[in-house]
Amino acid sequence: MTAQTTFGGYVDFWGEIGETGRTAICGWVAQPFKAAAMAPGLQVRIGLGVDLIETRATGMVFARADVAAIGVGAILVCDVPGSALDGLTWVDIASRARTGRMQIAATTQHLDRDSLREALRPLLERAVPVDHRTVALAGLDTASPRYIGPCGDDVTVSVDEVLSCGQAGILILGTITTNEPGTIQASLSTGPGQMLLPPERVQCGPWSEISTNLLRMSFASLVPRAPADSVPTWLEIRFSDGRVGRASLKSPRHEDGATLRLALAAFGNPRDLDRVFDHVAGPAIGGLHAACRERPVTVERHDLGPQPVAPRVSLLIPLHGRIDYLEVQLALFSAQPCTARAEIIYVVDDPPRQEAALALARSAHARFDTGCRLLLPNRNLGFAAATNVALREASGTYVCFLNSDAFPNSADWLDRLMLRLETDPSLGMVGPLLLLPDGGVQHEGMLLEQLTTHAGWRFPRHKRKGMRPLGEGMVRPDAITGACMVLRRSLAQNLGGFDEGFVIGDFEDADLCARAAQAGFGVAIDRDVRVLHLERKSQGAEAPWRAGATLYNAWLHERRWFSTPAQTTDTDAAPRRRRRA
Amino acid sequence: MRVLVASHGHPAVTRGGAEMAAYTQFQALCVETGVEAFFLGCQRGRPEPCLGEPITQPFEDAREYLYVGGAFDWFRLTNHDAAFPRAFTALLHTLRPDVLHLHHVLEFGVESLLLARRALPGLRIVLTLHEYLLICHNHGQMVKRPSRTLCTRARPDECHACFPEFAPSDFVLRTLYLRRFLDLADEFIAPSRFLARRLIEWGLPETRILVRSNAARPGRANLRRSNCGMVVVGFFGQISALKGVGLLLDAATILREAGRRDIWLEIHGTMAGQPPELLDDLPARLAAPPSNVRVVGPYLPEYVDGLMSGVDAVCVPSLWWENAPTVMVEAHANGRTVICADIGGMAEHAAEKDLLFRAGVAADLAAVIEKFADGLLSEGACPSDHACTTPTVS
Repeated sequence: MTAQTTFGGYVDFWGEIGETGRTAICGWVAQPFKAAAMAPGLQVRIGLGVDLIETRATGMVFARADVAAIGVGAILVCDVPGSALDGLTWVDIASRARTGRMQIAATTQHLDRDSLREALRPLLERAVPVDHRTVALAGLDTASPRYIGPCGDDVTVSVDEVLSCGQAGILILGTITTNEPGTIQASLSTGPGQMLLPPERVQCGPWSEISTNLLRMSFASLVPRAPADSVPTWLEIRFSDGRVGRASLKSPRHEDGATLRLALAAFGNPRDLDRVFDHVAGPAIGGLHAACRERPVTVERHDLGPQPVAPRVSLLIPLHGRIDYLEVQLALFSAQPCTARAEIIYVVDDPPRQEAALALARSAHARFDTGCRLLLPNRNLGFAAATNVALREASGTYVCFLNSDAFPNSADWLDRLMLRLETDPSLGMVGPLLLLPDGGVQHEGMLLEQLTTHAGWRFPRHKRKGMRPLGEGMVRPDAITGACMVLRRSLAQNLGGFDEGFVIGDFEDADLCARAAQAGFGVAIDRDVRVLHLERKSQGAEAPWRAGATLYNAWLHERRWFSTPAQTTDTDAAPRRRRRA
Repeated sequence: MRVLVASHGHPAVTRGGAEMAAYTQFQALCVETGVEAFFLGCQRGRPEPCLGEPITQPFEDAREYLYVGGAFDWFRLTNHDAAFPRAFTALLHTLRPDVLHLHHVLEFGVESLLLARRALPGLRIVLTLHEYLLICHNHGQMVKRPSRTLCTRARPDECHACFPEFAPSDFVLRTLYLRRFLDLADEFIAPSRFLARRLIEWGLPETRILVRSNAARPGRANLRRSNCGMVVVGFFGQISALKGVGLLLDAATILREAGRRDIWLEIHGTMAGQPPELLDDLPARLAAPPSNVRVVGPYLPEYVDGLMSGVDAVCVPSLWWENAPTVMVEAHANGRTVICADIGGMAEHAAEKDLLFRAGVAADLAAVIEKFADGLLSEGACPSDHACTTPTVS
């Protein structure tokens, strides 16, 4: 690449920065310098009369009204002491294909340390990039060279996300780019203090080669205590051979649904599931999710038509996305005598679609004469919490958890399932055989199967899925799905409904069945009762956060019922209860 | 006996086949002894329904009612007009019919069957089906999109291929939803055995389906046109690509290039009211047709007899499974040979002297027209005292 001298500028002042052994050169350059300044390492050649020296520098730019039309203010922190720059005449900055020259002028000043500090500070405070500035500012106030470090190290630390995770602390997600792999030691620096982070609290992904001689690795770190916001804080990554990279931390994102999805997306496919989840992902997501749940919820209630008094059964149906499924369900229910008399409760867990849901429910009521109650929470709660909201409203002797994409189409499905519970008091919950649209089995019960690809954690396997239905009568699997599950309301209440500690995505039903088993109740599928269930479509790759959600839930379920982490010192882990067979 | 005939159109508003058939039925019932008949037609939404009442009597004849709709979901064939259930129920309570005869569930919505059953539990509900709308979302024609190849059976994955904006499961739910309400009908009338078979395959109970062809009507049978050494084949009907007008133009071009100067084609009808996706390049082609084609223009149904007397054969070249084309009834009434595609209700209603060609194949249509023309011309020329004025093809 040919270097073209494409821009120029002037030095206004320069001088040594405190006791750091570094020199700041400050002036302005023509506009193209801005991009160069952002790069991790600048090569500079400094002309000293007849001689010249080459060194590395950290570059920053700031806005200057007097040269705004043609250039930007520039600050170079060079890796040489001030004494080495006697006779300074020009500074050439080279980065990739460009070079520029800042000239010394008659008005250029060589400042002593105090004057430099005074002159440079206000400029640093508005200079970018922020990472470089934070470090330089700290250097103005301290004598320790640690705060500046060698300039332009080939380690770039990028902090992508800083997420507040409630009681668990702060989750930092980022990447490290460098030219040689190695083990790292991470620490947080806040002004004078430095806090080393324990290695298990910094989980790293694999190194991947992004171009010749350039490797990248992602990392996730859970910091137990939130650093004080008022003090500039940065993350330092140090390699055993002395290479260092730093990045400042932006303000943490507050706990909400979007933040939770960011956290989940970071753990869609970690290498060492046990380590990552036990020490970082599990506590972080748990703390974040708990903080989200603490936010207050208000629930509006709308009744369509007169509601049944002392109903035998309540249907509890969370709605999200496909609100129009309500229309098809109510149309089918209107032809079923038992269902038409049931208490039907829809939780519209989708605030932007609540108006449409209300209009559709009104229209359906006018057309089919099927009433229902709509509950409208003011924020998205997720499957477990939404269903529990409905459970708290329910007044039936029995309750039926029903997915909005399950479509019972026989006159007596509900009667028959309730009869099973009536005739066998040791049965806790019962569900129908769920069918795919082509008539094959969608769900006939779940086995929990350990996956070697996933640290031996247990994941639900749906028996005989896709096969033609075989056999009659009841089967007793490990667990049954919450897509259509009938149980006595008293049992549902005693169990506390679904555990809201799970994030969106599986395992809530397996957990409920396990708790029922712990209380001495069995679960069953009645293959003589059949209900159509449309599976959630997964076209192509799942959204990364969904994969993370499934893994988190799997971890929670695994630790709760089956296996404990290797080191049990972690008080953040979920309470462990052994499952009774 | 009191009968309410209901149709998604009204002849005063639109002139499609189904509403004409429904209205004709109503008129016939009006003159039957012992029958009191009423008619409920539809108009797709005006800006505001009259006086906020969706069903009114805007015609001189107090037996005729009009529903102004506009909240119809074409995918699920359901009516979201919040005012309709009450108004329809009230109308039924007022008229107290013994029979509700629905032509289509369009505009009213398929759940109108439930409303009717609830309003008058003893009501006999009859539904006449005019095309395959219950089965097929593509204008009820069972033709694939965009290829227009013929479709024989609805399958969720294939329907999704025709309409990618709907998931296969949406089609499953559509069928579930429709059947829930169709189950309430006492009788389905199919104007052709072909349509009946398709519906049975789709899932309607065979025992409740009655095949009743559109009634033949009197015309000027056996009126032979004098042909002056020219043979004229006419197309009558709504001009759209699926009706095969493009195919007819292709056949015309083949005939012209084969040097047949003694065969004319006439196109009667209009493109008005056709959605653009069903017209293709027809407007351009009809503006500059081949020299052996005369684009005559629109016609009123009352004049069809006279117009048909001016042709030797009527061509019904539809690309889809025409069920019970009115034009064939009219052609037979006028003693005209029908040249039609060999599928669906067209083949079923073809009379013995009618000629079938391979659906969608222009060369075959041209060959059949040629064969017909040669047969007619060999029967003899004009009477010697007839002044031949028909222009020859240039």
